[in-house]
Amino acid sequence: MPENRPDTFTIAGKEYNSRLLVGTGKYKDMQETGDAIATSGAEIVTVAVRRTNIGQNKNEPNILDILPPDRYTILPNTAGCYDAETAVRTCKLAREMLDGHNLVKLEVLGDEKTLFPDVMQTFTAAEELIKDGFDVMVYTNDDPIVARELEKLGCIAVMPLAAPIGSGLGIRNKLNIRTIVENANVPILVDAGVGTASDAAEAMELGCDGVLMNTAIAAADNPILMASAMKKAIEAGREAFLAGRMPAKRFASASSPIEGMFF
Amino acid sequence: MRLQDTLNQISQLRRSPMQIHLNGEEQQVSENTTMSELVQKLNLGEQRFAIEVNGELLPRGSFSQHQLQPGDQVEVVQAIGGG
Repeated sequence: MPENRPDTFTIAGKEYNSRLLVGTGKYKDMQETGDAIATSGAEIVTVAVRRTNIGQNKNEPNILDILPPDRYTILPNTAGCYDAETAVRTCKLAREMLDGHNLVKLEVLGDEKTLFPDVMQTFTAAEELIKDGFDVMVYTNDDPIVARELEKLGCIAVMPLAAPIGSGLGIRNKLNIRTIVENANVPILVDAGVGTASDAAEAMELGCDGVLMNTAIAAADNPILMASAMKKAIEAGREAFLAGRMPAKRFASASSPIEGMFF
Repeated sequence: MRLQDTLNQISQLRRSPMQIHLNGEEQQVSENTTMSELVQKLNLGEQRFAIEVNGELLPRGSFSQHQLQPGDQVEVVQAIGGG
């Protein structure tokens, strides 16, 4: 940032410099995961909670070995949960695993084909988690009314999808994302559906506080290079938003003065 | 082998076996096995994990007092890569 004051944003009372949040799934191996995340500059990273492979994994590297919780903010997710009850159980296990760390990404899915959120189950789970002291960052669809109500319920960040999870389709409903941003008093992050750097920049240009992505980096031919591209896209989009873009016009407007022409 | 380990082993041998479900699979443990004993047996090393029994979180602080019951559904989970 050219200004003196750093352009940080705050999640659950903690300030972050990077507005890019990344997932840790779908990478070739731990090495690639670690390299991509380091390159992305992300400070908040999501992990999933799954059964331990009993008896097989004592020396297998664990995702938390490459993401030391003193360096990264670990954001456990409830991916794969299709009802409020399993989502709440998952969050409680995650909190215990991370020594009382309260920050979670709540996602309660509605069907396997779209992975769209089940909004009603999401509300039930969010309410219970908030009552239990969790800081809930909530995945939802791009519905401004739902986003408003999730904020009202006490979610600390609302994360509308750009497009279905893992689809790479980019922002399907820009005006809704803009409306959600304009209505909000909590951070709004686009979560899911980003495909390439321009999608990430666009989310930031719409005024989002950040973007959470996984597949767009992990499934690129060169994930490390894409992580670098995304980092720049997030920064560029943010600066463009702060700068305030020129109004779009249908016809041309000459950049060189008419006056003083000698021909 | 430490004396305490030997004593533990003797006391385990004297107990009769029972079945629990551990991460979805049948597992035989001795009667009155505590969660601490099970965790030790699982040899989870240094990694972070959490455990629930029959759908309820079991805090680490309760492992030593918690006795497993026949048919208990025990889930041991950890963090893995995910988005």
